Amino acid sequence: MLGKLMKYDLRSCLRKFGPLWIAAVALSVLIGLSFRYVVDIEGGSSGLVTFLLGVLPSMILFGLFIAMAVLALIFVCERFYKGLLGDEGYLMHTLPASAGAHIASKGLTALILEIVSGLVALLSGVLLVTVYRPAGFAEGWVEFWRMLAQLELPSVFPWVLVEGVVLFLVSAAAQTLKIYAAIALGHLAKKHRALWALLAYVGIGIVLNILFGVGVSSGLVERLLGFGSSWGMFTANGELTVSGLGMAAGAMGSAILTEILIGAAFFFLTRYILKKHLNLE
Amino acid sequence: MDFDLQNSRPIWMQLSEQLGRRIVTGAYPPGSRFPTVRDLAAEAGVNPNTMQRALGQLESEGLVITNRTVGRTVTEDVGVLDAMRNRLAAELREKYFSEMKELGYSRAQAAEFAAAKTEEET
Amino acid sequence: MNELVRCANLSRSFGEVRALNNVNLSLPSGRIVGLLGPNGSGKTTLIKILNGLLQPSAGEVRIDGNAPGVATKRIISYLPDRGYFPEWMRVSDMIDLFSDFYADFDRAKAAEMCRALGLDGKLAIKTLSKGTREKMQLMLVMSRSAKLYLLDEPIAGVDPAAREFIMRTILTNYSEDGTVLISTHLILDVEQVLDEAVFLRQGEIVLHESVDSIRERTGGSVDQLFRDMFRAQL
Repeated sequence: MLGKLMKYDLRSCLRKFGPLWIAAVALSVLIGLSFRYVVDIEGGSSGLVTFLLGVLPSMILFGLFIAMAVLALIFVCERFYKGLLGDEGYLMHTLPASAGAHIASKGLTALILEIVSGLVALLSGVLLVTVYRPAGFAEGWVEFWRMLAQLELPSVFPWVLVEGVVLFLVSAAAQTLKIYAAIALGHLAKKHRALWALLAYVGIGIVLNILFGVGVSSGLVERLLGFGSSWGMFTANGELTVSGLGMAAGAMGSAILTEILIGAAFFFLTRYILKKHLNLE
Repeated sequence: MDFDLQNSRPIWMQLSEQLGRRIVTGAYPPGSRFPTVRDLAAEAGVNPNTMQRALGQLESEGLVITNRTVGRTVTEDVGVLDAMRNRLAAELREKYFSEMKELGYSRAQAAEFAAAKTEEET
Repeated sequence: MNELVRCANLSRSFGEVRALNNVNLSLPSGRIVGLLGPNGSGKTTLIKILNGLLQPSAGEVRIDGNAPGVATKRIISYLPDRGYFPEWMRVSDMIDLFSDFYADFDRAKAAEMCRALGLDGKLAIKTLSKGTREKMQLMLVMSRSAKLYLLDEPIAGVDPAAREFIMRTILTNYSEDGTVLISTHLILDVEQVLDEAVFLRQGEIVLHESVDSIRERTGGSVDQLFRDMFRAQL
């Protein structure tokens, strides 16, 4: 069932964001080309040409990224609010799929949207630079790896990197589930459900902050993360230490676990409300 | 010929009467296959269960015969058909007399009137 | 006859308002049942509970032996009292969706009904008129051979000619061993089609009787009986 639900959620997502992604990539290539052939950045072109063909498109590209981020956030909220708790809910909740499958489908679609949007932004940047100066980009790439090798990073470093990526994904998922939980809590109200959802979101944030504060003052967080005076990630002259990296790895492991627990709590809260307190208008 | 359903009586009774009339008048000839419940129900715009009950009535009257291999057929028994025809005719006659009575005719006068009308026409 | 739907001591309140009050109802398979009552009598609430769109405050529901959930949603075909289409879809997308999720969806039947209703699969749903959307919804719901059809006000808000067309579509397409529950306050238009009538007044069942029996007992129509019983509220 999850696969079938996602098929439709992904399609509605692609319909909205596909054109945006293509536009971002195309625009970055165009800007790269205009930098390469028309606009002389070093100052050969007149101000107006630089503005019209260089600065303005770059601003538009930047604006597009911002718009993409904002639209993604709106999409995540709107698909859940309208898709499951609005009129469309009459269709979705009478399909033979569980509440858990609905939340998972919406959540995974949101995550995929976030990842792909991020990758598109990255790709646009790389494309712009590559098109503008292919040789320069290749040199930079080589230089990057050379410097990396020079750092003589400890062997745990790739793991820390992987952990970093996992932590990023897990916390993105937890953030999404937090939005869902807030919207579901807002659904419990009789009127002004969107407003109550917003208040619930703020409320959840406050509760989590208090919990975190309690965790810190009781020393729990310190023990969990290996935080504090014993951190010692860098040596006195600013070099990365092996023990420090190990600590960071451990800390991130705990952080990942915490995010998973928080995310799971939001998931089950949302599922409970959809199962037991669904009350479509 | 459409079904004409009144609100005051159970629908299945009205359906079985009107189907009986169709059989007697030859709209469904003796020995022919009788339409299915589903088709008849769709034609009348009623529920198949109701039509089933109407056909049950026709079966108990012997107008329709259910055969396991062929399905439902109209009876070829002339006696049954005549009996039904007579019953319908008798109902019509009683209706005629009762309405004539309302107009002030005695039974004899009404009979005489009907006969006179026939002579006039021929 | 086997029992398809059973409601036992079912109640549902919305704050102070009692939408359903101690409803006991048993429906067998293979019947067409009218859920009849004036607006606000609890028809939609009952249907939503049967669907699993609402949880009862008290009492229990069994459909084919199961509490409302994924298993019952497989066998229920539901026509809500409102449009529920994702705006971006075309008619053919909805047909794909239904046939994806419901094993009992019959594509051939859907295509045939689209032809009869004059629905073009390529049309975007947002371009359709309200009446056409309702027809399309009916087409989707009646293309399933479900065990239970829950039709919430299928003929409200359409003209009398369309009502007859809709009732005929329901009648010629429902699966005969399934049960159809039709909620409406327009009794005259559905009366010919019903096996049983359930009268709902202020959240309580005040009558559950076969239509034949009502006509034999009262010598009048269900509509007439309804008018007599609900005169104060109509």
